[in-house]
Amino acid sequence: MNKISLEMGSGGKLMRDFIDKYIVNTFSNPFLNELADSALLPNNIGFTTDSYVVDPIFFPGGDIGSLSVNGTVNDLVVSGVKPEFLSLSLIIEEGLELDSIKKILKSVKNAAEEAEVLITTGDTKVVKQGQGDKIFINTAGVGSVIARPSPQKIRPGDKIIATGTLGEHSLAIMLAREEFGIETNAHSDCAPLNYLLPLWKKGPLWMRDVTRGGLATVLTELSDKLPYSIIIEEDKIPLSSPVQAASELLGIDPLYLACEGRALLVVAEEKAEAVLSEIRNNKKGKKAEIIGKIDDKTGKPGELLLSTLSGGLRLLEPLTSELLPRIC
Amino acid sequence: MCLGIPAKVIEIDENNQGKVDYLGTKVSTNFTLLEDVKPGDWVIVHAGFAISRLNEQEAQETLELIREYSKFTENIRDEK
Amino acid sequence: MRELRNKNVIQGLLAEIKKKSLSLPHPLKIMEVCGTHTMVIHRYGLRNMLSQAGIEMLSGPGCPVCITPNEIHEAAIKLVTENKNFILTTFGDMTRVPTRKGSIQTTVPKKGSQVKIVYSPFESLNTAKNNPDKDVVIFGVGFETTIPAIAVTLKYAAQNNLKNFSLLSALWLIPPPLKAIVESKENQIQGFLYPGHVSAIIGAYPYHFIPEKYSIPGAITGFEPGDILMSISSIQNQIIKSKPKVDNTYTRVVKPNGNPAAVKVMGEMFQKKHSHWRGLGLIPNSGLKLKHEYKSFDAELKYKLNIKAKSQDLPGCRCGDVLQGIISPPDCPLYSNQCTPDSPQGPCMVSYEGACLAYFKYEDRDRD
Repeated sequence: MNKISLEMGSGGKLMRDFIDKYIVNTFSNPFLNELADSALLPNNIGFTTDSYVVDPIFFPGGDIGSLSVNGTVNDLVVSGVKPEFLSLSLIIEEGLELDSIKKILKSVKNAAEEAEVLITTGDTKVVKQGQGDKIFINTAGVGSVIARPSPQKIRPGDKIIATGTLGEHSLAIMLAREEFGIETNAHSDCAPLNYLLPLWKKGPLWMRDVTRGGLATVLTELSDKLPYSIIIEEDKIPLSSPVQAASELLGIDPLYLACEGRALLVVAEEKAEAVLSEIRNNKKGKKAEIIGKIDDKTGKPGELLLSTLSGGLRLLEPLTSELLPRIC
Repeated sequence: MCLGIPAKVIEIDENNQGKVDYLGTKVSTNFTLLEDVKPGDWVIVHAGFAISRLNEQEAQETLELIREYSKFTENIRDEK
Repeated sequence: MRELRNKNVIQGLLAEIKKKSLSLPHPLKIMEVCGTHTMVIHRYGLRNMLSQAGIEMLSGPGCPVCITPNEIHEAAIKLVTENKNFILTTFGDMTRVPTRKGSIQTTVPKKGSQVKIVYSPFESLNTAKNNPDKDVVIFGVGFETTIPAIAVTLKYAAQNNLKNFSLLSALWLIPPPLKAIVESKENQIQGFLYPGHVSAIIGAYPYHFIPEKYSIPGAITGFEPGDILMSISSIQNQIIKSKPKVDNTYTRVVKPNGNPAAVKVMGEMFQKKHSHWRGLGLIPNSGLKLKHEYKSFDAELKYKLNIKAKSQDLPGCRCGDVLQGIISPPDCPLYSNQCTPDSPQGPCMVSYEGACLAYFKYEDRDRD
C-alpha cells in the first residue's frame, strides 16, 4: 500500500498503525511516545493539538467552531491540565460565505468563554476552490498541569464511570450528512469537560474523552496497558433514545460511536460513589453512571469485556474501520 | 440479511408512503407491501419498507410464555 | 419485546435447554441460516453459553455479502471508476468486500462520480430523480426480505420512466442453498433456525421438504436472544418426540403463508436464474434477474458489464466450508493469520454477519 486511504483517518487500527510506524518512529521522544491526549512537559505545562475537518460544518448541537475549542480543551482536561490558552488556525476554501465564517467564529468565541480559555494566537490561510472542504481548523491548547493521571495505581475493583449518554455526536453528524429517511432529535453532545477538573483531587486515576472509535476503542487503549481485564455492564451504559433507535435501525454498534463532550473515568473503588455524585451535580453530568470495573478474575489480562444484557460475555475490540449502516 | 424493527405507524399518504415511530425516532417508510395500513398499527420495517405486521396478541402471548422462564431462573437461584 | 433480551429469561431458557441436552446427541449441531441471527448470537454472547448447554451453532449461507461472487462486486467498482457523472448507491457493508480491484470503500470514483451509502432503495430512486443528468445505479443485494423492497422500487422507476436509474442485482433465494446443504453427503446439521424476516415474506411452506423428506427439525425464528433460544428448545422437543416439522416461534410476525403481496411483486419484476454462490457453487434457480420487459433497468445489460460470475475464492480461503457449516472459522488456515478484519481475504471476514468476523470480533469468553 503506497497511498494514503481515507480509512487511515477514521480512528481505527489503520490509523494507529500509521501513527506507530511513521510518527512515533520518526520523532520518538518520551513525551510523544506516551501518545496521550496531551503532552505533559517540564515546568508543569500541558500541551495538545487537534485538527477539525468535520463534514458538515454545521450540525445539530454545534459546528466546526465549537468542536475545535471543546475537542482541544477536553484533551487537556482528561490529562490533568487546566486549559488556559488556545491557538486558532483557519484554512478556508475560496468561495465560502462570509456569513458562515462569522457564525463559526462566534461559536469559537462562545465555546472559549464557556471553557474559560483565551484565543491568543493563530493563522488564516485561503486555498483555491476545490482544494479544501469549506474550512479546516486546527487548535493547539496549553495550560497548567494540576494533577498527574496515575493509571499505574489502577487495581481490581476500581470503577469505570461514564459522564453521560454516549454516541450522540457521531449520530448527529451521520444523519446530518445522509438522512437515511430518519428524523430524530439527536444533537451533538459537543461540550467542554472543565467541570471534571476539580475531581482530579478526589479519586480519578485516569480519564479519557470518548472521541473517535467510541467507548470500545478508548477503553481497549487502557486495557491494553493493564495486567487486568476491564468488564463493562451493558445494562449500565447510558444511551439516549435516538442513539438506541438509530443504532438498531441502521445496525450500528453504539459502543463505537464518538462523543465530543463525554468522558470515561477510572476511579478508586472506595471513592467511586462520591465522584459519581459530584459529576451528577453538574448539569452536564446528570446522566453519569458507573458502567464497569477493573477485574482480575474474568477473562485475560488486557481484555475489554462486555457483560451483555442477556448475561453472556463478549470481547470488545478497537474499531477497525468506519461504521456504516446496514440493512442486513 | 434481516435487520428489521417493530415500529408504530404514525402517518400514511395515498401513495403508500409515510412514517413510523421507533423509540421516538421517525422513519420514512413505504407501505406498498401491506394492505389497509392505518396510523396506530404496528409493523416490521426493513430498509425503509414495512414488510409485515406485528400481531399484538401473538406478541403478548410470546411475552407471557417467556415470563414463565424468568420465574424458572429465580427458582434455581432460591434452591442454591 | 425487550424482555426477550432479559438476563433472567435467557438464563431460564438456557437452563431448560441444558436439561434436555442430557438426553440428546451431544453437542447438537444447529445451523442459523441467517446472517442477522449470527450477529445476534455473537452480540449477546450466546455462543459460549449455548455450547455449555450442549448446543453447537453453525453459521449458514444467509449472508448476501458473503455469498455474492467477487465478479459482481468488481462490476460495481468498474461502474463507478470507469464512468463519469455516475452515482453508485449501495448498502453499507457491500462496500468493504475485498476484490482484486480493492473494495468499494477504498475505490476512487472517476471525476464527477461518487459512491452513496443508502439505507433504503427508495433513497436510490430519489437520488435518480434529483440528479437527472447523472446515471444512478442501485447495487441491490439481498434475500427475500429485501427483494420485495427492491422490486417495488424498480416498479416505481418503470412506471415513472426513470431512464437514468438501473439495478445491478445480486439477489438470492433462501430455499435452494438449504436444499443443497441437506442433500449433501457431508451434511451434519441436525436442526435449522429459519430466517424470521425471509419467512415473513415466503411463509413456512418452502421449508417443509426439510422435515418431510430429510427428517431434520427446524423453527422459524425472530431476532431477539429469547427468540433464538425458544427455537432451539423447540428443535430439541421435535427430536425428543421424533416429530420433525417447521415450527414457528416468531408467530407475532410470521404467518404460514407469508406476505402474498410481497411475493406477487417479486414475481412481477423478477424471474429465477441459475446462480453461482461463493463457496457453494452453481445452484439452479437460486437467484433472480429482472424480467425481459424491464431490461432497460438492468445495469448489467445497460452498461454491457458481461459478468462471468464464478464461485472461486481467493487462494487458501475456506469460506465455502464455513458457510456450509462443515468447519468453524478457526479451522480455516487463513483465519486470524493472513485473514483478519483489517485485511480480510474472503467474504466471511468482511461482512458484519460473516461467520469469521463475527467469531473474531465477538469471540466469547466463559464467565466462570
